[in-house]
Formats: sequence, structure tokens, C-alpha cells
Amino acid sequence: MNILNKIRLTEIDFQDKTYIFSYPASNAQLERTIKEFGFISPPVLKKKGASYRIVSGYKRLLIAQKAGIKEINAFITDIDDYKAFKFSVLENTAHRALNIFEISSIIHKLLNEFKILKSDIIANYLPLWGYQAYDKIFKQLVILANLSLGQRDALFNAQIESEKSIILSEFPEDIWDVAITILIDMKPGANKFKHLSETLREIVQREKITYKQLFSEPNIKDIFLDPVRTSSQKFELLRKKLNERRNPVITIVEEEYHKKYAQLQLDKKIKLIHPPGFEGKEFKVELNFKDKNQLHKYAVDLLNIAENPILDELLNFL
Amino acid sequence: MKTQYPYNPNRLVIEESALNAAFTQKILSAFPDVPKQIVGQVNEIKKSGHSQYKKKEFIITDYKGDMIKTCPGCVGTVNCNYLVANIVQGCPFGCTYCFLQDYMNSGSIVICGNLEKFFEQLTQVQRNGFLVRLGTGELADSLAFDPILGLTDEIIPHLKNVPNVIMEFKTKSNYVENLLKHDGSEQIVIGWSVNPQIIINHDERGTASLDERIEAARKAANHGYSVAFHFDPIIMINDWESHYIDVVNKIFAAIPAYKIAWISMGVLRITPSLKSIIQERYQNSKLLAYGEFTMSQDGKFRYFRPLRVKLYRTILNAIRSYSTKVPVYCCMETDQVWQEVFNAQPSEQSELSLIFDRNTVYAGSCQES
Repeated sequence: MNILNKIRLTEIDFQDKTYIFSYPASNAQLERTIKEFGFISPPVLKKKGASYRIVSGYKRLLIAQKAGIKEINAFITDIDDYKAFKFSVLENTAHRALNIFEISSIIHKLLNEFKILKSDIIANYLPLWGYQAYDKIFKQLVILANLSLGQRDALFNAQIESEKSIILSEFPEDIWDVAITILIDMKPGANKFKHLSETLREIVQREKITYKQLFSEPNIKDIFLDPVRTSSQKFELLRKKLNERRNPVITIVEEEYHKKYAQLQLDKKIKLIHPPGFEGKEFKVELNFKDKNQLHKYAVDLLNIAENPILDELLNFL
Repeated sequence: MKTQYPYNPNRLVIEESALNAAFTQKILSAFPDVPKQIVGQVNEIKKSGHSQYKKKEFIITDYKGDMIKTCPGCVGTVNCNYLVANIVQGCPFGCTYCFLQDYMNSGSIVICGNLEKFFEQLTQVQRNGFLVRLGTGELADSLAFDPILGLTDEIIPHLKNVPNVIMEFKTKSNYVENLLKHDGSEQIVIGWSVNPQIIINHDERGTASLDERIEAARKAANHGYSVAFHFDPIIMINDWESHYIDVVNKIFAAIPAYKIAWISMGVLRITPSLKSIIQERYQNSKLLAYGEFTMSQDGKFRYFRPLRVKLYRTILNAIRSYSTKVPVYCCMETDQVWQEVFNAQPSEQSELSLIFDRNTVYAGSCQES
């Protein structure tokens, strides 16, 4: 494999993707580099009948083809299929950070085409890309290999982070388009997006409906179509609606509490905080002040609150 | 029994210093054909990583620590002064909500071979004239392995020497054959965790059906043992009221109230890490979809307090329609919930003195007036 060979591009089978996992296939920066400096790093090919399979250098070869280059220098290898694929994976991993779509594609190929054991993939491959060797991560990445090209393109072009994309694996595939719309249009953080996925799952399980039915309900559908709200407002509204549906009793109690709380007409610098889940016996008082005068004023306010009968009603929530 | 019994080991790992213990030898002689490995210390077992054997691997240890401990309870909850003996750790059943999934390092079954140490400590926990409640069902199902380990055969004869220890064997099985070989005693309580059959079907894989559990309880009670029932974890499935009332009806149709030593109630409680495990392992389970959860002071998710109170009151009222005397208590609950459910604290309920007051003098189980 150490000797360079002159290979005509017409001898290369570009349709054979046995060892290919690169996504996206085009790379403008690489294209500029090759146009200016030519092929510095030769691709690796493997003989396949009368033609050659690409082991590594797929993007470079596509650029060469596009540029009308007829012949290139390439290394030829005769290692077996799995070793050739592993070489391609290791070489690419060494040179650049693979994206989540490439990683899921590699895992899919290892599992289904090269018949590598799941335990071997978890132990030997996941750490290569900075993942912990966990079964859960493996399962998530396997599922993501089912993303369509259009869905990958949408996520990639919107520069959705890997930690968010991987949460898609927790949604059923038939709802991925909606979930991707949420990710791209509403821009939730990863934790909020994960929480949303849990809330949705619990609602559809409990109510025995499908995700599609839930998303086609007017009060949910309208949030997506709202032309006025900002992306974060839309997401917060969606979250609120779903939380109300998931936790109707908690919602009612909290609403009643907040109504009563509003009647206290507290300065915004003073907060009475109930224990989490109304579980416990003590409220907390939080107060921010700048100087002695302000502290004095708030102290008087607090004394007044202590005499207010509405406080008794709030305390009764515990 | 052994040929029909589904939880025989396929591998035995023995800590060298436990090898000569009588209980170890009993287990080894029961499985002459099962592959064995002797290791210097338990830690070596962990290092050699036999996780693939999981629930079919028995690790027999020479346990060095205290074999009887106080039930840890939970932060902010009322403790019921229960003592736990973890002679076996691990369970062959597959309950979706089981905290052992999060708690145990490996899926293997760990058995203390040095039972003599347990018996020695047993004599130390009893205080003259005062009752002590002790159970083996915290980190294991007390009877799940009884057909092959015969642990009750070992323990029951020793209980005569410690009359003030009330021993509870807590189970979701119906393996009572060994128990029936011994003389029944009110000092021994056989406790069954109970749930509506629909929950057993979905979330308590491998366990006995509700009817089988109640039938086993009936046999144990008829044989002279006290029995107990644990509504734990209570799960807020759709139409939960009628499902749980049905369970109460079935219990009292089969078991005379005076034979019931106590009934406990505890809702589903899940740590965040256990929640992740359930989400990953049981994607089709609806366990997390029922009810409304909030985070409790002890870092566990529980149903929102008013919902818990409603659940407990419903079950309590159903029980009280049959018996006003059977001690009923909440497991791992706050004094606030106690107050709302019982209109009293445990210390104010005379029928609970047996459970909550460690100074109670044993006077036999409660008789219905």
C-alpha cells in the first residue's frame, strides 16, 4: 500500500459506498484547497473486479471528478473489507471531528454490513468519538442512522448541535419531521428538548393516542403556525400546554397559588418561595436590596405581609 | 422442585473464606453440576467482570460487615424502626420499578455463606421484653430463592431462641412449601407485596399472580403464620380506585383479619437515575406516564402530595371497611402525609405501637373485636 499508483477516475466506482460514510459529501473548503494545491493526500482504493472501490478520500475524489481531473495518484490496498472500513474510520477520525450523522452511519455499517458485535462497537468504537461506552448511546446512534437525507440536511444546515440531534432517537420516527421543526424553528436547549420528548411520550402513553394525533390538535398545531410569537415564545407555549396536559392537578394547584400570591401585591424584589412540589413545611423568603433604606422598606413590607390574611391562605397550600 | 424452578444458577462463584461455611456447603451440594469458581475476595469477582451471567450467577461471600442494619428510610419521612438483614442481595424477578437496578453493581445474586454470623447478630438485636421487627426483603425477595437455597429452613429454627424478634419474609412469589414444613408461628410474618393484576402483568415480570400470592398467604395463615401485605409501590394507573379496592377485597375474602400482622402502603418512588434506567430498559412501560410527579425532599420523584393522600385514603378506607384493628401504615412518607391520611401521627395510633414503638411488649397479633 506504500506505492502510489496512477489511477484514471473512470476506473473508480463512485456508486460503491461500502466504505463510505462521509456526510455531507461536499466540502467547499476542501475544494478550494485542492484547486489551489492539488492532491496532497492521496486517496486509498481497493481493487474490485475491473474497477476500484474508494476506501478513503471520497470527498477529494468527488471534487476531482467535478473539476474534470482525469487521473490521480492513489494508494491501492488489498486488506479485507472490514479492515479497509476500519482503516477509513480510524483515518478520518484522526484527521477531523466526525459529525453525528457520520458516526451513526459507521455504527449502522459495522453492525449490519460487517456484522461486528454490539459489545465490540460499544467498547472499541464509541470512545474513539468521545462517547462513553454505554449501551444507551449505542442505541441512540443506531436509531439516528434511519434519518433520511432530507432530515440530515435540515439538521446539518441549521447547525443543530449533536447533543440535541441525538435526542431525536427518543421520538418515534414518524414524528421526526415535527421534532426537527421544533429543533430548528423553536431552538430549545438540549435539556428542555429532552424534557419535551419525555412529556410527549407520557401523554401519548397515558391517553392512548399517537404523536401525530396530538400534534394535529388545533391548540398545538396553532403554536407552530403562529406568525407573531418568537421562536422561544413558541417553544415555551408548547411546553406550557403540554405540561398542563401532563400534570393537570399540579397545574390547577399552582395556578390557584399564583392567583393568591398575586393578591399579596409583593414588591418584585421580595419573593415568597413555596417548597418544591408543595412538599414540606417551610416557605423561603428571598429578597434583594441595595441599601439600608431599601432593606428597611422591605422589612416593613414583610411585617405587613405577616399580618395579611392572604398569607394564611398561601400557607394552607402546604 | 429444582427441575421446574426457573431460577437455578448456571455458575457459582465462592469467596474462599466462605467455602467451609455450612450454608455454602449446602448450596454447593445442591448444585453439583454447576460450574464453580473459587476466588480470594469478592472484589476479584467484580474485577473479572462476569456481568453476562447476571441473574444466573450466584456469588457466595464471607460477609464482613453488619448483617443486620436499621432500615435506612428516607430523608424527611417517618421511620418505622424496621431492621433489615441482607443475607441475599439480588432478585430473579424483573420489576420495572425495582431500585436494585440502580443500586446493585452487578446483576449477580450475592449470598452470604457465613450465616452463623447472622445468627450471632440476631441474638444481639433482641432487647429483653421488647419487640424488634426484622425482614430479609430489602435487597432481595425473601422467598424467591427459597426452593433452592432453603434459607427459611435455616432461619426459622433459630427464631425460637429470639422470641422478641418478629421476622418478616417479604415476597412477590408463592414459594411457601418450605415454610409449611415448619410449625407456623405468629412470630414469623410472611409479607406479600400486592398490586392489581394489570400492574403485575406489565411491570412485575416473573412474579406470582395476585391470586397465587393471596392463595399462598391463605396457606401460610392457615398454617399458623402471621401474614402481611404491602401495597407498594402503589401505581396510579387509569381507574386505580377500583383496581386497588379489588385487591383489598380479594385479600379480606381469603384471609381473616386477625391473621394479618400489618398492611403497609407506599407509592411509587423513583430516583432520577432509576428514571433514566426505566426509560431506557422499558420503553413500552407506562409506569412513568401515570400520575403526576414532584421531587421530594429525599431526592426521589413521588406523586404530587394531594394525589398520594387520595391514593392512601382510598386504600385505607377499603381496608377499614373490613377491619378497624389491622395495623396500617405508610412506608417512607412524611408526617404531613400521615396526618392527612390518618388524621394522626403514628405515635398517636395505638394499633401501630407494635410497628412504631420499639418499647412495645409483645402480646401476640391483634385480634378483631
